[in-house]
Amino acid sequence: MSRTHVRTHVTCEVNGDAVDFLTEDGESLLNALRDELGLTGAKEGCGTGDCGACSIIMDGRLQCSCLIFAPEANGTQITTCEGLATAGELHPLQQCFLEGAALQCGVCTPGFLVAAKVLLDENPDPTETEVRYALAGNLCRCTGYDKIVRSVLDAGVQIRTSAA
Amino acid sequence: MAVIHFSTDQRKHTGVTHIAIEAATVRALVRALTQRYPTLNAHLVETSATAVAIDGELIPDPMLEELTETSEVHLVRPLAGG
Amino acid sequence: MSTTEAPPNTGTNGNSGYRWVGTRPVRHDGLDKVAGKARYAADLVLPGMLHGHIVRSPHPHARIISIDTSAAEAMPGVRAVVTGADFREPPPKGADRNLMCTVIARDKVLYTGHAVAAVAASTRREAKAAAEAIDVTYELLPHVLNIANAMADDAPVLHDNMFTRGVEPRPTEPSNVAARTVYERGDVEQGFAEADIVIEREFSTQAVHQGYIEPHACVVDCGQDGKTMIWCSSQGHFKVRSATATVLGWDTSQIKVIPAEIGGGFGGKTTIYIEPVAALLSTKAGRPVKIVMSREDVFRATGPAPGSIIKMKVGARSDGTITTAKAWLAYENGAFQGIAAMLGCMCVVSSYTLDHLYVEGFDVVMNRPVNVAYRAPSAPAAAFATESVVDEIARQLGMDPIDLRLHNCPSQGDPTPYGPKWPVIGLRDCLEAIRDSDHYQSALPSGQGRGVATGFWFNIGEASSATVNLNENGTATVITGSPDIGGSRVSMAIMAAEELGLDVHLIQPVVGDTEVVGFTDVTEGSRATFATGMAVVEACRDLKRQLCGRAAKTWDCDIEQVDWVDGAAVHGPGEHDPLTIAAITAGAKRTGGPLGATASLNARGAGPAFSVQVADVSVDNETGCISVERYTTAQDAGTAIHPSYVEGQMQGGVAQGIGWALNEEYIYTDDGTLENPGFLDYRIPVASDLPMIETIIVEVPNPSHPYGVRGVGEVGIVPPLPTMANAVADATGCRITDLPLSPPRVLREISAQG
Repeated sequence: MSRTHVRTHVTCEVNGDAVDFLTEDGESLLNALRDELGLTGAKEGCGTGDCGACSIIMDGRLQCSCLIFAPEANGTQITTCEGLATAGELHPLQQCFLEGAALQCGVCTPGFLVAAKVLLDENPDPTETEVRYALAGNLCRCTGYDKIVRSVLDAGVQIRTSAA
Repeated sequence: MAVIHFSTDQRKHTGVTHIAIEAATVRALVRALTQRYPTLNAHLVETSATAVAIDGELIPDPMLEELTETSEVHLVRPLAGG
Repeated sequence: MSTTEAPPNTGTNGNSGYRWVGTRPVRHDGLDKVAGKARYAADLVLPGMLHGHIVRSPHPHARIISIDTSAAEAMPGVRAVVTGADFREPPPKGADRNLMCTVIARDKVLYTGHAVAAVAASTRREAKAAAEAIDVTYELLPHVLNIANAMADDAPVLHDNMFTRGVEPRPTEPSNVAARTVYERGDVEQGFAEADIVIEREFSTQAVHQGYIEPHACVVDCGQDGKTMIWCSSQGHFKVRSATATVLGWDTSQIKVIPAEIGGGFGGKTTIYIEPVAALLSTKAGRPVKIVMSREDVFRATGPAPGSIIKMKVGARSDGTITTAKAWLAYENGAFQGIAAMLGCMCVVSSYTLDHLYVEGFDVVMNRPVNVAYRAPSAPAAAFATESVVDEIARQLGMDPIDLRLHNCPSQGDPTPYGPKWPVIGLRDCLEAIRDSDHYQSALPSGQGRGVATGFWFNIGEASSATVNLNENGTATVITGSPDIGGSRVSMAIMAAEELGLDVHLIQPVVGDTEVVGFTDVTEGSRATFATGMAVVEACRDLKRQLCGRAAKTWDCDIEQVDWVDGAAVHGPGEHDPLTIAAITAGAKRTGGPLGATASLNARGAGPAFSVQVADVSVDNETGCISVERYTTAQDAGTAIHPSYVEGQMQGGVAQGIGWALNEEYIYTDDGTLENPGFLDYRIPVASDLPMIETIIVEVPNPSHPYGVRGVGEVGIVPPLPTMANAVADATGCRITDLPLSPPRVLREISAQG
C-alpha cells in the first residue's frame, strides 16, 4: 500500500511571507493554500471556477485558485483575503463591508473582497455598472448584491479621499 | 364552549361544518369528537391532521393545549418552513 | 472593549422610543468574516483526520443487486468502507424511513446521485479513487421524472406501499400520489355565476436549488466510548443530533453537535445527508472523518425546491371584487413524500378575501432528490399562478393592479384560505407602501413593462432557548441555539441591549453547541429573531429582576423600591446613587454570586408575513433576454430589529426569486441524468444581472412578540415569480405561464405573437 504520487516543492510569496510547501501534481492551489498553509479564507464553492469563492490575487491578477494547479504558484506573489488588512488596520473594503452589512452568511465574502480590491486597485472611481461587471464572477446567494455593490462604491470613495 | 370547525373532508365524518364542545384541553376535545363521530379520528390520522389551529395559532403537538370558552379550533396538518 | 454611541435609529419606527432596536450596529461576527478567519465546517482539520467520499447512483431508479467493496478496501490509504448494509434497517414507511433511505440507499436507488456507499481514506484523492473502485451491480427499473408521467395510470411506482392519503375510500392500488389535500369554502359555482369575468390558466414551474455557496460539510469524530462529536454546516444542530441518532439508532446523548459558521441554507440545510455516514466511517476507522460535498453532489443529491403544475381559475365582478377562485395544484416531492402541495394549497389565495373557494392539491413522488424547504416553501409557485391571473383580471377590467388587490385585501378577523382567522397582518400596508412609493409613482420609461405582485408566508414559532450570563466586568454573553445564517446574532444582541440597557458592543452573542444551551429548533420558518429573540428577552427580564434584587440587598431595602432604568438599578426614594450592571457584577460575590438567566419556550404567535413588489423590465425582442431595470420590495417585518439585515433578507429573497423566474431550473435528460449540476449551467443571478433592490420596511408590529417582530426571512422570495411574469406581460403583451422566463422561451412567445 505504497503511495506513488510525486510531490513537488513550491516556493512563493503569500501575503508578504516567503513560504514553501510540498504538493501533489494535479492538486489545486486552493487546496494547497487551505491544507498546506492553513489559509482557509478562500473557499471552495464549486471547484469549477464558476462561483469566485476561492478568488485570490496572483501576480496582480484576479484568479480562481481552484483552477490553478498548486505547482504553478512557484515563484509567484499571492494575496488572499487574509492579506488584505495591514498591521491591525482593516482595508477600506473590509470596513465598508462591515458597516454596509454587505455580508450575511459570509462564505462568499473573502472572494468578493479580493475581487473588489483588484477592481479598486485598477479603478478607484468605478461606476455602479463597472462594479457589477467586475464582481460578476463572484456568486452571492444571500444579499442580492445590493449592499455589496454599495459597499464597494463606498470603499472607492474612502480610498480616493485618503489618497487626495 | 370552544367551537371546532371542520374542513370539507372532515365534514364527511361529522355532517356539520362546526360544533361547540365543552372541553378544557385539546385532548378532551379529541376524546369528545371521537365519541360523537367514531370515524373522524381515523380520518385525521389518515390525512396526517395531527396539529390544530387555536384562534389562528398553528400548534404542531397540541394534545395538552388548554382551550377557553371562546377558542376557535381547526384540525390541520403540521407546517414546515425554510 | 470600547463602548460606542448608539447610531441613529433608522428603522421606520424611528420614533419608537427604542434605544437599540432599529439601529444598525456592526455585527459581532463580522470581523472574522471579512478577515477570512470565520470557521466553516470545511475549514476544520483534526489530528489524524480522514477524508470521506460518497459513492452515488448513476441511475434514476434501480434495484441494488450487490455491492463489492473488496477492491476499494485494499487500496492505499483506505481505512473504512460502508454501504447501506452497515446501517440499521429502516421501518417500512414514514418520515424516519425517508430520512434513513435518503442518507443511504437500501434495496433501491431512487434518483441519480442517491448515496449507496462511502469510503474514508487518508487523503481526498485516495478516498475518491477507492470510491470509484466500489462495484455496484444494479437492476435498472423504469423511472419517472415529471408530474404528468408520475401521475399517469401506468406509471412505474416508486414505493409499492404508497396509497394516496386524503382520498376516501383509500385506494387499493399503490401510486406515486402521496397525498391529496382539499380546502373548500362556500360554493365556487355560485362564485363563478356571480362573476362578470372569469380567467383560467395553467402554469408550470421547474425545480430549483437553494444554491447556498457553501456545500454541505461535516467533521465527525466518534470515540471508542461511543461519544460522538459532529462539527457541521446546518440550520439546526439539535436537528442534526436527533436525525443522526435516528439514522444510526444511537442515543442522542452520545452525540454532541457543534455548529460551524453556516455558508447559506435558505431551508436546504434543515435536514441531514452526510453526518451519519461520516459517523459510521469514523466508528469503523477509529479516526475523525471529514466529508465535504462537491457542487455536483449538492445539485444531484440535496435540495431541491419542487417544480409544479397549477391550474387556476378566478372570477371577478366588473367592480374588481373577486368572487371565487378554484385551483388544482400538483407539486413534485422528489423520491419521498413531502408536504409541498399541502403548503401550496394553504397559501395559494392568501392575499384575497374569498367567500367561495375550492383548492385541491396533489403531492407526487418521482425519481428526483427529495424536496427540502426553500424559503417560503411552495408559496412562490402558488403566487405565480394566482398573481398572474389576478393581473390579467386587472388588465381586462382596466383597473390599477394595486387598487384591485386593495379592494379584495383581507384583514384581521377575515378567514384564511385554510380556515382560521387572520391575526393582525400588514398586507394592506404593504400594498399602500408600494402604491405610494417613488418607484410606482414614477412614469414607466418607454419600452419597458411594469409588474406588481403580492406574496404570503406563515412564519412559525417553535422551541427556542437562550442563556444570558453577566460577566464580572459588566459585559454580557448571550448564548442561543439558533445557527446564524443572515445576521441573527447581532439581532439577539440588540434585543438584549434594549432589555438590559447595555451597549450592544458590550454584549457577545454566541451560538452554543448542543451541550451548552437548551434545546432549540432549526433556524427555519423565519423564526430565529422572533422565537429565539423571545427567549433572549425573557432571560434578560429575569436577569433584570435579579439585578434589582442585588441592588436591594446592597441598599438593604425592599426590592419593590428598586427600578431598572437605562441599564442601572435606581433607588425609588432616591437615597442611593444608581448601580450599573458593572457595579453590581463587580460585587456579585457579596450579593449572592454570579448572575445568569436561562429561558426556554415554545414561541407562540408567529406573525404572518406579506410582501408586495414592483418591477420594471425591458425585453430584448431579438434575443428574448429580460433586463430588470428597477425593483422595489415592501415587506411587513413587524418591527425591524436591525434594519440592514432585514433589508438584506428582503433583497436576498428577491434576487433568488428573480433567478427562479428568469433562469434557474433543474434539467434532466430522458435517462434521468441531471444535465446542469454546476453554477455554469444552473445560472443563479450575478451582480450584473440585477439592479439595486429598493426596500420599504413596513412595520405592523406583531402583538405576540415583545418588540413586535414577525420574522422576515422567507416571504421576499414569493412575489418575484409573478412580478417578473406580469412585467413581461406588460412589456410584450405575452402572458407566459411557464417558468423560467429564459431567453429561448420568451423569444418563442414573442415570435408566436407576431
